[in-house]
Amino acid sequence: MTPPKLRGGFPAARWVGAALVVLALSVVSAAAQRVYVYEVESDFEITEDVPHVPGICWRFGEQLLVVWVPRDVAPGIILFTNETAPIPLYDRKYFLLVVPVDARPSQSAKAEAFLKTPDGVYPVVFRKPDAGIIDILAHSIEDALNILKQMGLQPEYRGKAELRRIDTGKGDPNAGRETAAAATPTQVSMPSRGSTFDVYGGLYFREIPVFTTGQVVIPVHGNEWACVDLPYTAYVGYDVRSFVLGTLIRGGTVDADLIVDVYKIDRGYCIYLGTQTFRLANNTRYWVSLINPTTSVDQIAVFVRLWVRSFSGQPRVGVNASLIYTRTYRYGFEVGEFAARAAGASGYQINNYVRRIVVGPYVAYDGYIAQTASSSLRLLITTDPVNGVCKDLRVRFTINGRSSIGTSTYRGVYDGRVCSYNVNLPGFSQSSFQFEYSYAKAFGGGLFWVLDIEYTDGTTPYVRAIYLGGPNLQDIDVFRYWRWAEQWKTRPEAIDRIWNNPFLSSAYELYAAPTEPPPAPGIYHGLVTIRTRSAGDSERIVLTISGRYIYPGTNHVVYINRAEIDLRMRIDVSRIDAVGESYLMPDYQLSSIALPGWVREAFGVKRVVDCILMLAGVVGRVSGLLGFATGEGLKSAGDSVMVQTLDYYTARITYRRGWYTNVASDTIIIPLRIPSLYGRDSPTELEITRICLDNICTNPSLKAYVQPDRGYGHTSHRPVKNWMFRAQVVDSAFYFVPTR
Amino acid sequence: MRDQTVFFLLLVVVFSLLWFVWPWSWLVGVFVAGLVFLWSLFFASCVGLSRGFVVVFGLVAAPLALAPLAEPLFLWYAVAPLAVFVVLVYAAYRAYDSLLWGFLFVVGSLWLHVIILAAVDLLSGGLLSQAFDMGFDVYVRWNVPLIAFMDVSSLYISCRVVKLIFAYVKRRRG
Repeated sequence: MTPPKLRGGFPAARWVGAALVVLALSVVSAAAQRVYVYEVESDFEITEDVPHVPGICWRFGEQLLVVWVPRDVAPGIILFTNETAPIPLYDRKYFLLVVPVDARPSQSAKAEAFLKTPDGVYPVVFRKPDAGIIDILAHSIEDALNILKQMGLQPEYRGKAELRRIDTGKGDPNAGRETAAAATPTQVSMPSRGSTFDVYGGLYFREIPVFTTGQVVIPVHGNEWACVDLPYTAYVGYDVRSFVLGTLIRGGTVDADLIVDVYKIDRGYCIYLGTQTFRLANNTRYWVSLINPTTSVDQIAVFVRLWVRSFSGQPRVGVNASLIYTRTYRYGFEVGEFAARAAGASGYQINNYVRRIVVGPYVAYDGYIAQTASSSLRLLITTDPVNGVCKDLRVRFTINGRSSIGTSTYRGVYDGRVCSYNVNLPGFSQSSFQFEYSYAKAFGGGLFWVLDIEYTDGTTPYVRAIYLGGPNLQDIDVFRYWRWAEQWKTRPEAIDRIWNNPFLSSAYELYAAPTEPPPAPGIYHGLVTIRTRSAGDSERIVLTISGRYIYPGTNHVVYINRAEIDLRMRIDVSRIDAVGESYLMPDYQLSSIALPGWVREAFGVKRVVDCILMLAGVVGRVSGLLGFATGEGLKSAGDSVMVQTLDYYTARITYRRGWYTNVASDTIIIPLRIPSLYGRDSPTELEITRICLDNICTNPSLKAYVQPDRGYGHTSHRPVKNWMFRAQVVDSAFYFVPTR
Repeated sequence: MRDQTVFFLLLVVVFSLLWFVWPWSWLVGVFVAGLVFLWSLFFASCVGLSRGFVVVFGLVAAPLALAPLAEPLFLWYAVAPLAVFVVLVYAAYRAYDSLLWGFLFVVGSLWLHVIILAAVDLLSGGLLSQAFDMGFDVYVRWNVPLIAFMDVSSLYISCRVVKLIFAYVKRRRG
């Protein structure tokens, strides 16, 4: 079959078409600016202040593009999924820099560093990116070159280069950030009242398929929009120090602009402040300079969209944002805590050559208060001896496989069978954690450790087993930090009615693989949040408990069957009670936890029958198998939530899934009423001293604080969101609550 | 007769050991039914077990297993112990030709075994109470086989003792 020929009759149109094609090609070739790509070793870590060469002028202003590429990729084990996979290791001192070929730096500019390349030396200064692109993540140098080509550049790899600081009197560009780098890994104490600090948050947008050119709107998750007159706007709020967008493109390529419209909110309506336009690229972070402390004296909202020129494949574009707020911690507004835990007694049988160990990922919970993170990561690694001796093991600790915390060497202890290495985290860097937390939020990602292990002679160890918690198999905080009081989302795809019902929340996330003892192939993932609600709510504390066993080999999942939580307070808890306990169903509806009707009826009949059988010795506390089997069979058939007091200050909340009920939910919500919490004029500290999720118990010492309900204007406590955002002493009531 | 009782005793204990691996699902109903059925056979074998009783005890236990399929049958969890008790009294009545003696045999055996269990509990520092209080737990499973073993072994002893007492009384009466 021959292709259909173009019909004649419109020669002029043909000529016009041909001319347009030629014009388009010439435009494309003109747009494809030639750039040099250097593989850079730096003597300091790159942050959101990116390199600029003073005096150069290209489509990205004076800035150079930073592209992260892995330093190397090596075989590793992801502990919590029990998978072996190639694990890349990035380094904040190793990246690609993209420089325009015809860069002519200013000779008079004062440099903070010099970039020494095979093509010359460039003076470099550091600041927030001129053109908005902070950095791009690539899987390899080849991948990086492809990304640059998709951005309309014509990259040429030119080899290695060096970025060296000079003493400008301004000090290290990272100064101030690195001062806390030597912080110890011990738990950081609660922030003090009256202090002002940086609080990290996130915004989440829906992933959108691109199947048309022109404008494509990227709506915020959920149905709560910041302005009544502009759907899909995302609420940002007050006092924002930085706003960083992250983009992910899957399933194809898109040539588009990423457009961010910034509005201030006035009585529920959006008033236009400005627009910033960026070149869309995959795995890229953008600095939105229009959102800053000056503009965010008003409540801010953003509207994100794409202007698509062309696309290939079936691309889906995902956008998330990482924000830093300035907040002041004042009386009446308490902080919460987040603990990402790994249960002791988690043993992982590896029996393979391993170079990387991944611990995580854990949720990057909103509200992280800068400078308050800690970790007590501890492992026992057993390896085969090499020629009968235990070689020294060198371990490099990195957060999210990029920000290095430190390197330590460990001596092995031979027990006649294996060499044991007691690996402890040597320190902690607050600035590294902040960088990785912010980076993760920009992509809706989590936090994890990557441990790079090798013998000091450079060879890879044959790992027998890894025990989280070290030789004593203690529970460990993989990450732990304090959270700002407000939580502005109850779930990722929906914003709660943020201005109306502020509440606090502390959270505990658990990973475990209880393979020893007893052997089991399952991986456990649990989450407990304790939310303390505002004054006026009858149930001031709400526990949310989630847990599931995942069996990676079979994709089998078992929902939580039992939970036990010990709650300790410095007040009388004797009249504590659970009210309205329920399951959170997959469609986010609540389903009440109640005994099945006939089971409840059976309890009534049983009371009568038991009176008779008591005389016969069939039922009773220690009366025999018949009464025990039928009684317990009935008792354990339905789901139950039980609250009991262990002593004056401690209550135990127990959940048990019945063997008959089979509710398809792994999450239980238990509101608690504690009468002695009423009428208090000072904050009340809660401490979760013990958490058992299914058969895994830990003692997390997780703290949360209940706001007082007297003596600080509690009646006006509900409309406090403005106050919290602005850190004002007098609350104002011009907040807006969407009614949809 | 004694061999048959020992056989059922062992059967109850072996069956209860399955609890260690029994899935936490509607199959728990089957486990309860199996335990009730075997325990009933064991006790009935003390006084004489016929095929008819096997069928009757099977019918008594079956609703326990079927309750997850028909929820109203959960009422049977409340009533089943009474039903088992009645059938056991009838079995003993058949053995002793007297309803009173049959009733006294069952109640006597049960109370004596309760006393033995209480003594064991006392001597073991409350281990049995702990096992009973633990109930059916999805993860802690040791208590059920322990209760089963202690129950049937003490019931075996009490059954033998009551039988000896009854034989003695009958001889005295001529």
